[in-house]
Amino acid sequence: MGMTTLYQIGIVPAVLIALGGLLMLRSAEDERGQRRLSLYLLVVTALLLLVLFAATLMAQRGNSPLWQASSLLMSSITGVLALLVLRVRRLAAMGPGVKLVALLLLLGVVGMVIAGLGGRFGLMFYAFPGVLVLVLGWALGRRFRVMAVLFAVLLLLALFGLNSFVDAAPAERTPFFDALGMLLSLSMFILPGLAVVGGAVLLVNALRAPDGGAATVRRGLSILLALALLGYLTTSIFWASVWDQTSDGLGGIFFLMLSAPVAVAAGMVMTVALNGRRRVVGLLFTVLVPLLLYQALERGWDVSYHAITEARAERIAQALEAYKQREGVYPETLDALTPRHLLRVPRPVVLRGESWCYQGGDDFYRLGAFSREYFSTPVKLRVYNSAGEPDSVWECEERTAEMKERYDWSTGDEVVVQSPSATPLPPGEAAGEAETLTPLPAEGETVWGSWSPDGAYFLLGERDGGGRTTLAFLDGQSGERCPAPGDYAFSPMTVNLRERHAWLPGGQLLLVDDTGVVVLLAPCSPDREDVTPEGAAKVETIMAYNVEGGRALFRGEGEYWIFDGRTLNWQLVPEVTPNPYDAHWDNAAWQPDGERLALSRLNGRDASEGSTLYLVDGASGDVLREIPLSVASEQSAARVDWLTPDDVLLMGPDTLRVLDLSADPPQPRDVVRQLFELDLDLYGELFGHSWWVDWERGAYILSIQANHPRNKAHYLYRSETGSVEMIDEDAHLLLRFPDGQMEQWPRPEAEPAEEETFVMVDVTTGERSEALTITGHTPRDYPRLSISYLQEEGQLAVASSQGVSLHSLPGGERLDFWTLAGEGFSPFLRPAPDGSALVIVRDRGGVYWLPLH
Amino acid sequence: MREMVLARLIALIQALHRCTLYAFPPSFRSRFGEEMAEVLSERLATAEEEGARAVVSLGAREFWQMPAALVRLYLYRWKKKGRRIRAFVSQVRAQPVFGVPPVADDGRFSTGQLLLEVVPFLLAAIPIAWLTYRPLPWLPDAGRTPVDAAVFWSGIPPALALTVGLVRGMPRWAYPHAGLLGGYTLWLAAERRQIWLWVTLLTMVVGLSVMAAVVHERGRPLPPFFRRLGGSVGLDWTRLSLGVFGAAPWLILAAFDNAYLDGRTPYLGLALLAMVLTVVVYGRRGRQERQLAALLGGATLLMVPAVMDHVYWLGSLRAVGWIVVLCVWAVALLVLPMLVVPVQWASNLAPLGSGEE
Repeated sequence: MGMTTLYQIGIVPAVLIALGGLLMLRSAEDERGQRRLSLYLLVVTALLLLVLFAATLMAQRGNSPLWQASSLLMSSITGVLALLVLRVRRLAAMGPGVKLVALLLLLGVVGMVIAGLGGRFGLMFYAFPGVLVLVLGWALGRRFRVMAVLFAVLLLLALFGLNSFVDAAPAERTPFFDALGMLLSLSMFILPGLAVVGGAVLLVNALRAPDGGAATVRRGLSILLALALLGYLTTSIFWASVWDQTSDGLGGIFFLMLSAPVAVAAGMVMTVALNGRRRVVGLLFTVLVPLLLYQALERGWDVSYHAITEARAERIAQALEAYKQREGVYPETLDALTPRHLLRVPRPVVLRGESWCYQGGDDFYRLGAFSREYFSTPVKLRVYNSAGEPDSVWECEERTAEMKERYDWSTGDEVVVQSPSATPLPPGEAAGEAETLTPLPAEGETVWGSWSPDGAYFLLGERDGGGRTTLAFLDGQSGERCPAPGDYAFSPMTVNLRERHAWLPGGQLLLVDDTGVVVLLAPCSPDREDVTPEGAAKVETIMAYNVEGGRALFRGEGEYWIFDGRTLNWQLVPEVTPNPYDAHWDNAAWQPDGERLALSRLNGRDASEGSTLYLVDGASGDVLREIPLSVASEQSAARVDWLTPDDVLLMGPDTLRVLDLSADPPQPRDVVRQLFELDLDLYGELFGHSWWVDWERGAYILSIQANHPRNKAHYLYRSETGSVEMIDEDAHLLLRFPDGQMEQWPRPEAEPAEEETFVMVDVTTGERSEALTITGHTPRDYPRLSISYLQEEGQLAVASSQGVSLHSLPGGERLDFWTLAGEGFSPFLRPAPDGSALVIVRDRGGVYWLPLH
Repeated sequence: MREMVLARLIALIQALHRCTLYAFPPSFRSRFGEEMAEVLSERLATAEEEGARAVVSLGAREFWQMPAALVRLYLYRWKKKGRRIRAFVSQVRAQPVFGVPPVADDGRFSTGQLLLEVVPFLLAAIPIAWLTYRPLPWLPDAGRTPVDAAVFWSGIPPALALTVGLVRGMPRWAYPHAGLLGGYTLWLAAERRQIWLWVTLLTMVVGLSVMAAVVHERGRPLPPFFRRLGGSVGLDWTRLSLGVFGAAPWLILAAFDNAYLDGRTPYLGLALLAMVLTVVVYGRRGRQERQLAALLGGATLLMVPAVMDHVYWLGSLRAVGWIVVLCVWAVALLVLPMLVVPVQWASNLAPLGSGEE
């Protein structure tokens, strides 16, 4: 449950406490009721602080109880403390016992602050400032009523000024901040809370004012001013949250946290201060105003700032066309549009303080802005609207480098790309007498690819300090490396070359780097053939490839291309373009024979428009069929893979379906509910799923692992028979498929143990082995072991941060153990397809070679 | 010498008699002890004149009769105490602790009232059964299971009905809507592992209600709105139990949450049917103990199909513990109103002549 949700739920105890206070007032006549209320507040404050203290004790293992309790109770604590401070005179007039309790409470609060607990509770930063603001605002506003009105007007102006300051470009802000830094910081800290208190005081003054004549008008004006203050604060939080999306900022939550608890507290004070039915206004204030503020924040995070910018660009474009109709030319600057066509030119909502890039001439204009999809993606110049052909260079294009320098996250910032290092763990029982494997020598950072289909070579590389990468082929038999010709550019974050290379049927390697150059390499050969498609936009990644058919699908800038590894020809996919947004992904899968391609494309900027499944002819690139899908995630189209020539598997964040393409329209079947006939939520009750395909027989096996509180079994579905098999073992599972592949399924929620028991299941026959025990891999830094089945040897290879071991089958006896020299996290295994060697890749570490024959 | 022995014998009898007086109840002893000792002394003085034999005979008779006298005396005392207890019990019965005239005209003999009470259960049972046994493929993914669709059968309509009920002073038909909403929030809290929060807030609400009743009783009367609510509960505390039973659809869904599709056995349907029948039976009962018995029996009966469903899938009673736990919780919550509602206060909350409905 999120923090803002907890804060919103925190309104409930505050209302209950306020109601309790009203009951105390009602329990006796005036003075006695007031005394009871004071006592009640003392007791409630003590209880709330006690709960927070208890939460601290519980929070030693994790911070969850503490932040949950403090989020829930912060508003109530602010309210009761404020009420106590406002009633300090009454407390002073009470008996010595009450004074003693109050003193002890005060000492407790001070003690908590001195002990450093105030910061952890948020008392120091939210509750105490909130109490201070509320008490001062309330005391002054209730005493000097005319001043309260003037003060509220000043607050409105100050909030406006603060928003203008925050909206300004960093360069414009700096001189102000240099001159008024302390004052600005202080005003940012107290203004949101003061705005709420101002609204509350005005409402109370209005409600307690006498009726009739000019007083009624003053009352109406006070209420209007109060609503204006609260409304403007709500708007400020909304826009601060919208801007937070663009920069991963905390402006909205900062505004909210300094105002919403104060709003709850002010409502509590209003409830007690008002009388009769007017107390309902106090209760409504306690509930509605904070809810409004919280909803402003959530709404601000929900809207698309890109959509806002596009709508603004469209309005400007319409104004430009209107100007052209009237004047015959486009304006030289956007300022010419005001005030006749636009009262003011709205700014783009992407980079705070930046304005539009505009170029206008007699018959042309270009309206753009520096933009980025997310706060962490690179800045680009995006053209929103244009007309005609420009006759000169656009000044904005020349500013691109400067803007990237200013706004891109990773540019020149070593800290951003710096990798964490692994903490060494004590050696396990098997590591003592084990041999040590040393990583393959590398001078730079290692990048790695995959084994060639015949198991002869493994693709490796090293990136130098200048960002260039040299590649090499590791001979699986000898362990020697032969360098590949040339060097290549890959981004600093690239360590796995998965989308950069593909092995072709003849044993050649197809490679694409960041510059868009596509080359063909032969292992241990000086030949290098540039096969970059002519006339194409830059190609970027290999989305899917198929070894048997020799076809690869490339994604380029605005285009999809199919490369035929047998003929070395390129074929454009003319009817499908990639999703245009940065950090958004389409998905694709080839049929094993390479005849057809399933290409799933995200339709819009998010999941709301779903995706479209295109079935593409591998040879011609023609779209054979186009199927709309509701399945998509916020940044990715549905994942897709072929099960049979007529069935594809579709995977989305909450969807797992088999789509029957032989029907028209295609018929979806819910895998969990219809095939396995289980009532499991994909999110939370399913540990994972996998599939295995026998293409020639047109059959497949699906497997799912339940993670329901009352069901942790594993299920297998066989398409040939339509049967479901349940495997419910108190051990980890190893599923062995007919082609020798093996899958590991750890028991959900199991912790690494000294002895780990596995049961091997032959998926074809359903036969289950005796339990085999793996030892020697604790302690480790990643709970899951990397396990590979070595079919030739009939052995298991197991890797963890302790090292690599070989185990016999079916007994599981440990045959050998190697520790890994050098730094890095848990390794994972890459066995050669012919079983001749193991490549061990260590996350944030080296690459190791282990011959098996 | 003979006289001296006789005098010592008399002194011994008197001393023993004083000791035995302590066997009598203190109140009796304080009232008659001194008198008894004096009477014995007088009789001993008379016997002394007749000789030692008469003294011994008197002493023996006195001690011989004492146990019988003690028994009679204690029996009389217990009987007297028992009469007082019976009088107290009959007095308590005459001023009903748990509330209400057993045949209060709160609509339990009205078919229209009964229908209103059954409506929320039908509104929950029908979509649950429909979505379970007749899945609607055209529905969006998020609304295909009963839990997904809960916001419609357990959220907005019950909230509206409860609002109407609050405005009308909480007639009996409004209580199950509160239970449905409460069950929904409990389900959400359980999903987010925040049951402690739910329980804390509920405890605060209950505490506040008790405080309100105390203030109403000993301080100043609450505003009419709250008095009407208190009056509604005071009229019949089983209404709160009916409110708790309003969460039965959630109880059923929780009991059947065993990872197997509910639509493959008829047991869920049976449980839903039992739920609706329970409410009908409750609505037709005229006495509170029978109403409570109907709800307790119904809550237990709901669990039987859940157990059968579990046994159907697993082939044994293995791991049915959570169904038992659910059942125990349900029974405890149903009985709770009987134990905690301060009916004497609550009935006072009712404005005069509040017959309701």
